[in-house]
Amino acid sequence: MSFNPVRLSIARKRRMLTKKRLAELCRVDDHTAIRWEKAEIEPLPENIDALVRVLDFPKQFFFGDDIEVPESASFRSQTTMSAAIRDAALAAGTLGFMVSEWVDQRFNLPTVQIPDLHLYEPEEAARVLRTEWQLGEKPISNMLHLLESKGVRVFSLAENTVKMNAYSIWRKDIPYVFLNTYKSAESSRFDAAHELAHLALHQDGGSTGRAAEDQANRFASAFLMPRGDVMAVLPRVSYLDQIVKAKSRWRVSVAALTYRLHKLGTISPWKYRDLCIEISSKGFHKTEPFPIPRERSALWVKVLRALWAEKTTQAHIASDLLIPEQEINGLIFGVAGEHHERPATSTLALVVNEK
Amino acid sequence: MAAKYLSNPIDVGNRLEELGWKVEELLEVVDAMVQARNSCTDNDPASAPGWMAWKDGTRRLREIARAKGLEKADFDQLPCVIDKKRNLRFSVGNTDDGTGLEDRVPQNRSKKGAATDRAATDNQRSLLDYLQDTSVVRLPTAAASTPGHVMSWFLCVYSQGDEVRAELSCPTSVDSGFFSDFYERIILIGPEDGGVKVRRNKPDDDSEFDIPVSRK
Repeated sequence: MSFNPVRLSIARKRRMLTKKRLAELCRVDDHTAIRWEKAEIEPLPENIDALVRVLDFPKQFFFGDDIEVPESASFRSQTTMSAAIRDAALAAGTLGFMVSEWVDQRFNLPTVQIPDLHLYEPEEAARVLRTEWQLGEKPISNMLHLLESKGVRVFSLAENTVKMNAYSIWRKDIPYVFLNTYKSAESSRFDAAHELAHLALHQDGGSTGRAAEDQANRFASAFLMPRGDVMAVLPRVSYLDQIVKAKSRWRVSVAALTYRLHKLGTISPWKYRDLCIEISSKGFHKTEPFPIPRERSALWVKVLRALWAEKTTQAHIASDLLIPEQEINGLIFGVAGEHHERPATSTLALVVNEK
Repeated sequence: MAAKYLSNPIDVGNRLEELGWKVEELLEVVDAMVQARNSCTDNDPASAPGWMAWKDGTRRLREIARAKGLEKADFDQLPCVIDKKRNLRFSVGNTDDGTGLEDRVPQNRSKKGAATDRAATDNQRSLLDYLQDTSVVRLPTAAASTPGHVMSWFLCVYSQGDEVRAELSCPTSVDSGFFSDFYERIILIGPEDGGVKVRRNKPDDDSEFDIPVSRK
């Protein structure tokens, strides 16, 4: 197997390195690194050793088959996100596809049940999907579990930046969502609903940009906080405290619920402005009051438990896929959380003879 | 007489087949009832969740049943479907937390009228007539009742919060407008630690949503 420049590009993007910086770290000329990725020349053995050291990917990774890199995905926060963060997230998506296919070969997972709702306005689409999924007007207890139950493969992005929210993509008829678990649990829930909107409303890929993001936000707001239920529970709002107390019902942020109440006409534009000022002055836009626990994947927990029961760990998955173990951990444990049922490692006991 | 309580999935499937139904079909009706209940908010009339569940459950039952060749009917103003071949009648109803439990019986949430009382009485009469004629204790498949009598079955659905239980049951007695005794109970969705776990059983991760994962 010969050197695969696509894989070099993926590894470099995962490490958020420019080609120039990679060249510096590998102590080669800038053009050399560029030509590696253009497949004009192959790295020499000593260059490959340097790539392994700098990028921290196994040597075999660079000699694998071609892998698909998502070219476009529905991103939030596009204006504040740098190209490096975006490319790193998309490269993580590539590795997520590999992990997903590895799991698909070994497990029966929930079938995909995401309808195409592009003909509906966002609010209407949220209502239709709630009916389709028999959710009625009730709050959604766990967005992550709901997505997983409908066949969505959910991964985490270990990007450690608030500039990156989430993205979603359809690949081979499987919907994927990559969530940034660095943000608050409430934000992640909203992100999950926002990505669900893209999967249902923008399946054709034709709608992108600001308009598509606005549609996804409107859908997420209506999906998480259904009109009838919000108006029944909060018919009148005079103080921010009412919103703070009520938000736990829908497990959303104070800001999200305030915006929803504004859009439903429960609070006037003036009142909305005052509440936004109060939210900001109390720091609720940065630190959520009475935060909810982070939602955890049920699907990954089941898969990992089954694998661990067979003494298969994420190290084995990494070894099979020729990718670093920390990449697997980053993709899975952000959504699965840490667990205590991994195969026990052998321990040595110190025996003291008291005589 | 203690009601027959069927909860083993194989027994349930076989018995429903004798009655002309599949588990999945009846669960569709249950789903329609749960969805209808969930669609109500605190601003709706207090009776709306129950009424909506009953309305949508009846509609779905009839949609499925008529596609199978059964007939829509209103027996004494009690909406139902009739299987003329088997002399069976089916209706839906909202029942209490006794639904699905072996040591209790489901009671209808709202007081039933004379029609339900007559249906249960008819069931009892049919059974007595039948038992007088035969030494076989088990109710037969097709000729579930003596000629002229139609056996009435109720799809009893309990839905409260995240919990749903359901059974297809044959009442033999109604006391002051409420079911009080049954001949046979076929459990579709039982309690967490018993009964048939067809669907909607709470997974070990305590999720409200069903996320089936199995090894290939």
